[in-house]
Amino acid sequence: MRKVRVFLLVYLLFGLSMAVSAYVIDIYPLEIAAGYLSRAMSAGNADDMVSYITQAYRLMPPLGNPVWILPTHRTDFNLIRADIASILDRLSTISRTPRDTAAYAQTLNDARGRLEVIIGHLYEAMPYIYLKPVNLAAAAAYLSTPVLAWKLFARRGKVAERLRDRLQA
Amino acid sequence: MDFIRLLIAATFFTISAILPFYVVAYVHLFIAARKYRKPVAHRPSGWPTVSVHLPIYNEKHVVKRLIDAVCSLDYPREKLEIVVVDDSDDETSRICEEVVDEKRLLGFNIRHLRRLGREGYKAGALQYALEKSTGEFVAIFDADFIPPPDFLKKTIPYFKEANVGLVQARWGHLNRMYSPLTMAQALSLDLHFTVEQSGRFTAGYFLNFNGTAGVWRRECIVDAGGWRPSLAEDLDLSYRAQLSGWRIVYLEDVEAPAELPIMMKAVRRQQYRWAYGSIQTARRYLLQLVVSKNHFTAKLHALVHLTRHMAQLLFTAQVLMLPWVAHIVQPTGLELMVFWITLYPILITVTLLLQSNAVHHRSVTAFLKEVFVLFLWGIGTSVNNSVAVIHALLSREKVFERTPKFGIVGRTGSWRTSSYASIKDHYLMVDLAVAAYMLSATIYLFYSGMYSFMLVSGLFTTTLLYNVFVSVSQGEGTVRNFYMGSKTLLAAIAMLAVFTISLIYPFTTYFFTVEKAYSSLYIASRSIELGLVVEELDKATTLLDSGGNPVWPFPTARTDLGLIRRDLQMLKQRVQEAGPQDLETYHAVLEDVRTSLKEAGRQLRALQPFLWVGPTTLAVSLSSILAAYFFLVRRSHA
Repeated sequence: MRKVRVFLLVYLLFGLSMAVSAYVIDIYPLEIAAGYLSRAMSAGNADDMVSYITQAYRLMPPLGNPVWILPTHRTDFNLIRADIASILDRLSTISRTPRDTAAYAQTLNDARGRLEVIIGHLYEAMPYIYLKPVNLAAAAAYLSTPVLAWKLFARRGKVAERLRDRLQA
Repeated sequence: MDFIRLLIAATFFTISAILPFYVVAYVHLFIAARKYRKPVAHRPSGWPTVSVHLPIYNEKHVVKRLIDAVCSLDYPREKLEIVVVDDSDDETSRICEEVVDEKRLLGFNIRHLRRLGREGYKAGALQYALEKSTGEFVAIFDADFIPPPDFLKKTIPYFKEANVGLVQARWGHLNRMYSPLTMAQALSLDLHFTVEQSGRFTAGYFLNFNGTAGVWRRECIVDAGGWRPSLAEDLDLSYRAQLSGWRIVYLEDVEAPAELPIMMKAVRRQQYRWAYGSIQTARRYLLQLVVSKNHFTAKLHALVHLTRHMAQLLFTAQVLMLPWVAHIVQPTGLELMVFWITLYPILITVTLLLQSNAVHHRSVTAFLKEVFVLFLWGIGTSVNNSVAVIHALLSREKVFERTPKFGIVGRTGSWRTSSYASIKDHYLMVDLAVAAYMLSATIYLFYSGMYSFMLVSGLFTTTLLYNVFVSVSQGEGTVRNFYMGSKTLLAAIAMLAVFTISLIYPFTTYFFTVEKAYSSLYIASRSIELGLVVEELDKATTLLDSGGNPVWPFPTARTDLGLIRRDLQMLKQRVQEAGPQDLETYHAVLEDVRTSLKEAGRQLRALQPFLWVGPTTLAVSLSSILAAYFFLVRRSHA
């Protein structure tokens, strides 16, 4: 019984560490990127916004659409990166103009609105990145381990029982 | 909405749409039960022959009590046959033999039958007794029952009509007040009989034999095909008999008192068996039921009756999905709807429980106490019963595990030293794992600012931990002697004090400061006066003078207090630079600052829970509340 408990504990801890490491590798960089974009949304001037967005841009996956079932353009990282690049261009241009102008304020405000949309798309993509086929396969293997182990032990037990019966006979 | 979110939401709402059927069916029975009228009895001209079947398996504490009670039945001795079917492999057999010999010498027609092995378990024993007995009617009592002397004379007269196959009596309770757990079970069983059985009988729906305290017509058992191996052999035979046209009569005023199990592990095992057996029966007869010529409502109620444990599986699934669903609905603004969807099964259950006092007439204090414990125990058993339902659906072999009884009557009696007290409950680990998951979900919901959902997830965690804590408290080992009596209560009070202080202090200091800063941003974002905007931004910046990131698991720049403060200072500068001389610039800056401040406000909201409950506070508050809960549960059950 103690062995079973230890096995279960190790099994649960292993599962937990698998889930956390998948999060750290696949999702956390995107969360950090979304955090920088959020910072950019509340930044006080164009220079700060450029700085934050640049940091977020570096953390974006380079290409492709992580949504592997019924994908749309919303989660296409080629397009997301292109959007961010265009926002950066506009903000870099406006940062060279005086801050106390309507154009400056309107550009910033427009960029904030677009950043909000991009953050939404990042969060939409996250579950698919976390539940990508490789991770799903690992999870399936993890979940089926105790069932297979149980069946294996049960079969061994039956074989041993039959052998004992034969020897006794 | 994307595919995964849609899938989760659709599953959640489908479950939520099915659950009300069970609630409505219960309410329907509740209303029908109020119209219950005792059926008319016809005293027979001569008493028919009755065989009393007593299936026994390792019941050394109660078997003598049972045989004594059965031999005290007020019934013509020449018409009464008592058959003890004993499958025991401990000293119960010796006790049985001695008592049976003693009774035989006193002139009773009593036999002690031993079987080789436990083939078919209880059903096998009952079938064996049926084959070895001759009575026209068969009364069945489990080992923990004490049938009253007039039991047979009060039940046999209801067999006047030839299609009555079974007369079922209500269960009483010998040890209702023994512990909160027995109180909860007593109320649950009372509701089963007074609401469900009465309601079904009144409305003419399918009823069930409760495995004991009932009298069968032999012809009915034989006609229905006899006892078949099942974990719910009673339900199995009841449905077969009713599908063959036999009727079941339920008598609310005939009570057969029984001993309630006192060990949580035993209760869980019993619940598991009942849940497994119900689904097993549903799988066997549901199709036959659907094509039968019974009324549609009767079929619908039978469906609900047989699959009633499925509701627990659905409810468990619904609660387990809560953190995911909450995450999905938060941006959609449907939080309140989902909150009520998850809360209503609990609310309806509590309402119905409270309503049921009208049919029980117990003192309000005792009743409320019973409702409270039933609520804890009942919801906490959901995971255990869900596992049983899945098990039954997968159709794996399951051994009939009896519920040990210790001969406890009233509030006294010892059970710890008995060899029956050692019960293994592997599924408790599942409960513990689910409780850990739900506790994590509650913490996640807290840190995500979705406070309303914490009510349901917290309740579910509490009820699961109740089951686990009672099981551990009643377990063997050193923990049993640790902190008992008044010391336990003092320890619980001390832990509750630590919990309260650990939460109040950071709330008043950190959480509330950020709340004031948030209010300043709120006013600033709604103001059209630049002076006021600057003033409020100044206030907020002063309040947020500490730097750092309070988010301790996976922090991002979003919740960095130093960066938030810097943004606010920059915004203040820009507002000061934009004078009212140029109206276009003035409005454009105000508009931009508003958008910026809204996001800053969201950032503050996101970090607030982390400021309130940091890692140390979380560790202290969690450990203190869990310890207090454990001590309280232990004190009332151990």
